[in-house]
Amino acid sequence: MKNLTLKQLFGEGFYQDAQVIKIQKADLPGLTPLPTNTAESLLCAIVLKAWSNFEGRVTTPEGIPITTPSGKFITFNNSNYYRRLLISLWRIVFYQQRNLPRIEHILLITFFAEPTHPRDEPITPNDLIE
Amino acid sequence: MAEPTLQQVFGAGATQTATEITILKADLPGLTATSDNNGEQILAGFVKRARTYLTEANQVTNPDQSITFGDTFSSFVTRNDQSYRQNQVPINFQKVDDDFDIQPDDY
Repeated sequence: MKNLTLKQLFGEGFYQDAQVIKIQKADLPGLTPLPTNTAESLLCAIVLKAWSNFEGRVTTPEGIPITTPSGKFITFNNSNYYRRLLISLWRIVFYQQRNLPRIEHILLITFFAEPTHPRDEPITPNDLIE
Repeated sequence: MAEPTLQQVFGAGATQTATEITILKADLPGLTATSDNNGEQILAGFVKRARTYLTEANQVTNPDQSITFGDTFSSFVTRNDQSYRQNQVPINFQKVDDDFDIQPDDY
């Protein structure tokens, strides 16, 4: 199995060196770039960009989903293709909080390490090297 | 309370301009920085950094927080004939549901 490339996960304009990581806002679909986007909108956009590698709908270059003659979307799913990572939509929940109806999307980010990894230790970024 | 700041979610050295976000590798826990870290390591670093602040407990006191991380599930799994230790991290995105009521015109 392969690993995802940095450009697939974070966009074409991704840059890293030994100290910093830079991600271009234009590479994050669904985000309107502003001089100060909120931190949560940036986190959401980064997660969505990474998620788009695993499942989604086939779209035109402009982003409009393509449908079959019977009107269904064409979806793709790469869940077992990449070795160390998988992102999927788990479920959507409707609930009330502070007297307002709310909708919650729950995504699952799954990291895969070697099976010899000690059971009681959390997986760290260093466990995902190859 | 307020929207979570860039520094709370991405680390003390994070900055942004109108076109890009810059994050310091030193702020990502558990990541040994090289000039060539792979994508999964970096994403795991982002997750570990963001979830120290974006907890469900913090959201109870901060109505402006819309993203929380749930508890991690750990298990073993086989994929393509190889064994792996798997950690799953749920990330919850919440927003107000403007259009929740039944509307005759929608049907």
